[in-house]
Amino acid sequence: MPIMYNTGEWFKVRPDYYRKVELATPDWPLDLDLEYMLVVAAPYGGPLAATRDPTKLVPVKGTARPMVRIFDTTGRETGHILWNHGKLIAMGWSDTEDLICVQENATVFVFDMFGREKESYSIGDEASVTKILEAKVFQSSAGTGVAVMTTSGRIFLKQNSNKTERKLPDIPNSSINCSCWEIVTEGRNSYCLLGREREIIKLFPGETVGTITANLFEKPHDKIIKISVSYNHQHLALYTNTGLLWLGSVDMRQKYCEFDTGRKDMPLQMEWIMNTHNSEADAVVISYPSYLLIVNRKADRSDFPYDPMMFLVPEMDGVRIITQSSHEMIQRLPKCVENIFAVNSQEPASYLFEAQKKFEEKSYKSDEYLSMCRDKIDLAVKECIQAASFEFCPETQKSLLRTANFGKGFIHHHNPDEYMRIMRILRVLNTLRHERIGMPLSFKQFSHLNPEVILSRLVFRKHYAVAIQVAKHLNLPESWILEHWAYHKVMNDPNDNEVARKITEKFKNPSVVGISFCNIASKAHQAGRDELAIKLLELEPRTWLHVPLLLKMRKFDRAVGSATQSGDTELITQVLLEMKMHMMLSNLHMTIRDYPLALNMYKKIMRESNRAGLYGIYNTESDHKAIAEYYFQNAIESKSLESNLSPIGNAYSQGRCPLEADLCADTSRLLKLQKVLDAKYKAGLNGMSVHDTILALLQLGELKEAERIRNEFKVPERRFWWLRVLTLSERSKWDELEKLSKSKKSPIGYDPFVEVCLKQNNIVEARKYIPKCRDQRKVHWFMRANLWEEALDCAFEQRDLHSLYELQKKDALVNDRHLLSKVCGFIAALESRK
Amino acid sequence: MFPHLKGNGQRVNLKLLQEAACRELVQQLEGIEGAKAIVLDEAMIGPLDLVTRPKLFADRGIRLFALRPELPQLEREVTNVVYVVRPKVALMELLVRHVKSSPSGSGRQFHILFLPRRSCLCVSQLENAGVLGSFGRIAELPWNYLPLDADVVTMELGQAFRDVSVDGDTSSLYQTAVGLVQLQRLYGRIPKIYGKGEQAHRVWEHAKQLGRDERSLYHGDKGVIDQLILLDRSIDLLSPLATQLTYEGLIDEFFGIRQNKVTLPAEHFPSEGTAVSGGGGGGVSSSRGDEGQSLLTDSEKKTILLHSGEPLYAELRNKHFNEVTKLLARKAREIHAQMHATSQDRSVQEIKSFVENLLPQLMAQKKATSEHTAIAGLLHEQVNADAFADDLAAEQEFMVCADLDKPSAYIEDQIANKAPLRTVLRLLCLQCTAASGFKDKLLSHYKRELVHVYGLEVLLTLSSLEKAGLLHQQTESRAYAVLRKTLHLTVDDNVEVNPKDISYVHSFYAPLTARLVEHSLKPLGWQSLKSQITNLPGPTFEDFQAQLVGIGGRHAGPLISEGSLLHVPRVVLVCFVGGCTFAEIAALRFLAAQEDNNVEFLIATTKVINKHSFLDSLMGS
Repeated sequence: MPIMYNTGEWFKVRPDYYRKVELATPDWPLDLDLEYMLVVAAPYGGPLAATRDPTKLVPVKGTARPMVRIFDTTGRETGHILWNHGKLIAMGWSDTEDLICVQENATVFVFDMFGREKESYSIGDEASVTKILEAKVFQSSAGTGVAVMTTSGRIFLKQNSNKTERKLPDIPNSSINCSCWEIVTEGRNSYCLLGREREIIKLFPGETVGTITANLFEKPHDKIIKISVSYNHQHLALYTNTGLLWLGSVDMRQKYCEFDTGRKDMPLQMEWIMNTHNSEADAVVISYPSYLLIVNRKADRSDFPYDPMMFLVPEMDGVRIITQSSHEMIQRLPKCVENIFAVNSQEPASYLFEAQKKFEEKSYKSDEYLSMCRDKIDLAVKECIQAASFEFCPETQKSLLRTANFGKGFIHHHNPDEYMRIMRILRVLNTLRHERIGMPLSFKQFSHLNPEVILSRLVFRKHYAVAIQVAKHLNLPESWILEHWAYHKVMNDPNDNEVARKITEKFKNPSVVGISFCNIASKAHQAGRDELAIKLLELEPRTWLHVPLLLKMRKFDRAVGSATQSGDTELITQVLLEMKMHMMLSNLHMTIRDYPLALNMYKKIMRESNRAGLYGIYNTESDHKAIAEYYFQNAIESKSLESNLSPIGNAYSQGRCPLEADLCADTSRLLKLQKVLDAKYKAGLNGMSVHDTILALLQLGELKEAERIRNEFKVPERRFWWLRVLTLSERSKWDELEKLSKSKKSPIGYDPFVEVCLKQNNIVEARKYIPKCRDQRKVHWFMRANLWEEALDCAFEQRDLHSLYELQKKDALVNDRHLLSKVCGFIAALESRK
Repeated sequence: MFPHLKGNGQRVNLKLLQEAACRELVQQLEGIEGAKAIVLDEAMIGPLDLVTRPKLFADRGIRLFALRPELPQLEREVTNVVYVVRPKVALMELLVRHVKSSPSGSGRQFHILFLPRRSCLCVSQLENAGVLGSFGRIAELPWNYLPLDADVVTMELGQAFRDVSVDGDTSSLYQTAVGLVQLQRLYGRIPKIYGKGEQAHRVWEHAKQLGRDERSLYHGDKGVIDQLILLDRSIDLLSPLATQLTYEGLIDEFFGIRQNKVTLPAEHFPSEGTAVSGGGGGGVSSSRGDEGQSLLTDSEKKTILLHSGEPLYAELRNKHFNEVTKLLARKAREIHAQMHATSQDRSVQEIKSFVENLLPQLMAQKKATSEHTAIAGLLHEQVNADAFADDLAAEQEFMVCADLDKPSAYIEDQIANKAPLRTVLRLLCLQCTAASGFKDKLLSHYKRELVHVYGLEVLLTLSSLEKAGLLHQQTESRAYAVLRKTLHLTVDDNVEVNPKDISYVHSFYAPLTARLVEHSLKPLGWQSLKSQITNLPGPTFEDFQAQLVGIGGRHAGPLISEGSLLHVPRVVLVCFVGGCTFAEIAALRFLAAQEDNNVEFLIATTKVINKHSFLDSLMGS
């Protein structure tokens, strides 16, 4: 197979191929010379921090004060930290791209990638007092932690500011200094491996003392000077002062090989190269000044001359090498790439690739190549797609995807999902790798981090436009990106109107859903821009969401407004309670009077908790009727109606309720009268109503007094008659009752007379009055009086068939043959007459 | 478990609602670790019974207690006490007392489930009493509408109308809106909305605002409910005051139906029934703590379940009472005939199958028939009382607008006799409503009379009624008198047996609300109705909730299928804001039973009310 694509970067470390991939060349600032710098870089193409290496002699430029400078991978400076603290021991990046700096007194400072301090904490008092010698930032299952070694040789681990530090067991025979150490994570635990002379000491948390492993090497050496643990914490590499390299498993039970590098100089760095196709590692890369060495488990090597200074950054699928003039990645060559591009490859994908090329050249040979891979064409297509995902060069990606596209035409029912997915992601990756963004991620890293994290990293770097495009492209929600953009605007644009206008403009787009103006507004509030916050809140249609922030800002007026608009009474109550805590009562009253619902709820709260407070609010409202009722209620409850009648009446008359006021006056007059009468008759009249007073007097037979009350309070004649009729019948004064009935025409008719007689079971008396009733009532009363004969006659007289039918059903008639025949006769007669 | 929710093939399956409510409760309970006991606010016992069965609690080893001033006796291992309460500040005092009386070393944790909303007032009350720390979980159980029957959901808020109209507390309106959104969540978007009345309008405004966030509602096709009609109680105050003459309505008015249950003196019922009928209904009460009291109630009182799960009651409930007696007699004859027809001329095989299959069914029918005959007997006594007839006659005079502008002699006689205040006020309010208000002089006259007889305190009650709009000065438009004619609210040739018109529920008066619904069913009904009901208070409104058409517009499909669905009855959700009566429900069911209408109703109400409970809620302070 002809060589045409980047195979020049390939090199062989038997039996595998590795390759160096060139990433965007960094353009370091002129005043940055990596040779004198201490550099730490975050994985996943993250930022890197550089500070002057204090161990190297440097021509001093500018200020002597130490400074930590932060760059992205393209050499753009994103921020710097003027180091005003004590001696900086170590730096490292957390998995959330925060820069962790450890100081000599065991204080840890955390900065974001723009050099803004986020927090600081200390790793325990002991470490702080004894001072620390070295520190390491390590990754574990619980996030990024910090390990420090004190001058007394003790090692402390701290996961983050919230957790307490843990001390690792003491080093046995600690009189001898350690030459190197490394933190390893195993499951949920992190432990330390120390190299001391010819032995490795393992300090496992919880154990009392470290375990020592010696005699790992066969060849002679003085001491181990470098330890390196692979990215997946499975493999261990040791390096001695005599240039011997030991590769093995991290538990040191298995030894892969021992290799003599033959070099006497100190290596700069040593890192394992993780495989691209699985999470294993087969080789280590060791950097020396101007020289790079790669050694694999099978003890084969490959080496390159290099820039004098380089920094290795271990990744999950390779190692990045950053130098003054280049940025490269060493990775194991993916098998699929090898299959396609290897010299003399016999793999179907390789034939397919060639077939496609010939096809483009319009050469008949295309068919020949195609026939060579026809039977395995689906595998070939799959490999092409896969290979494309590993490529960094867009041209190569394109030709591989073109090949896949060509090949899938020959497959029945090919499912293009994978092809589409890879294409989408590659487009995103190419954007990210562009020097403007400077996040050189591999496909594997991208999948591992997952798109949401990538988006949030983009947003954090303020690449809002790119983030939105990426989100759209990957069908992810984009509204939160806009929200972040808005936060940014809120924090940095000083013009309130301008910000509000820009934000509305951007958010008008109906396709943007789920924007929370409240979140943005609360950011504005945090930034101390309440005016802007209110402007932003006005954009939010769901008024109930305004309330918490408005309360926080003490904008009670608006909070009440928003809460009432939402109609949520519970929310209104919350606002009112809050207001009561923070406001003068009179102010509160004035504020809520414009919101009837809030006013009602306030009254309700007051009624339940503090009735006296109601008076104030009624007073503010000049609601005199309510004041009257308020007095009234109190008077009833305290059983002091009499003394309160005049204020109640006054309030009623102020409230334009003349009738009620009048009645109050009546009542107080009545109470006075009752006292006089009570003195006379001892009838216990006090507190009775007018009606009951008259009734009581009539029952006493005091008609005169009763009539006086009646006249005094203008009791209608009807009711007075009723009272008389009732009392007379109750007292069985039948003569007087009759006299009354004859005294003049009854204003209440004669039905009541019948009724009261019947109530007393006096049929004889009742009979006297029935004829005086209205005709249509007569039958009714006869029936009620059980005067069946009369009822029948009366009904017949009035030709009241309906009543006759009803009578016919009565038990009394059914059982009485005479009556029954009579009623039947009547009914027959009336029916025939119809 | 809930036979009455099954209905006969209703399109809206209320079991979903029941299950959803149950799920929410279980979720809350499962969030609390350890053995628990539940203490129920008295007002919650009934509602809880509507959606849960005692088994639910028994399976989890949870005992239920009613909320009493004293903390119930609990076993040592019960480490959690869960209060299920309405958010009433007054109840918190009991809780405070419970917490303080609980021994401090017991390690007992208290929890509150507020229904339907957590109340900050209550919480601050607990805080002020210094016991807030003893409460672990303070959460809310967002139960708004609970299924009462296969076609009725209720919020069990008896004070709703009063709260809104007298106190201006619109919580119930907001909760109704939340309830409507919840219903839509379960049964899908309701495309068309009609409504009348100010509070109804407010409910809809809230519901719309709340629904805006429920994007799921606006995607996909519409739900099972085709239409919503929101009716404000304040547009028709006559119907809740009127005497209901349906079987169910009468039972409610005389004995009070509480969450499908009525409690009656046991002496009127054959004693063998008690053990059987207890099983389904008295779940909560039987498992409650104080045995002493429940024993007492068991022997003297009998609780009868009244819902459509029982076929006989389903048949009787909505009938006019005069028809019920006849139906019961016929039923008894039928059962008798069936029992006896089988005893002769049968082979052993036939008798065996009879005994196995038919007999239990017949026995159940017999039991139901005897039960309802007893209830009907009790009602008969009441209905035949003179006072009932006289009241009814007076009421019906008002309904036909006879002599509305004069003091009513009947009311005056009642006042003179110092009849119970509630009776008098009911008639007074009826007259006022029918007359669309009193002239100033007449109102003053009545007020003076009432104060003379019942004392000055009656002014406070009258003030409440005035705020509620039951007593007021005359308005220009005589709404009732006009609508009586235009909407035929009173019918001359009324039939109580096998009726042709909804007016049978009050013998000759058709509830305005039901009449409005009836008219809206006609083609262009609401449009023509709009101009007729302008004289009723509050706005007449309509709204549409269209589907948000996404890009691509792939919505040609449902249009075609809709045509083929024409014969399927449409479902109309009638939502009463402020309560409705059984008579109104009966009228709507009557409408649904008419095949021409081709409609199914789901009735939502804040509470099923009657003339007594309605007035009681307004008269209390």
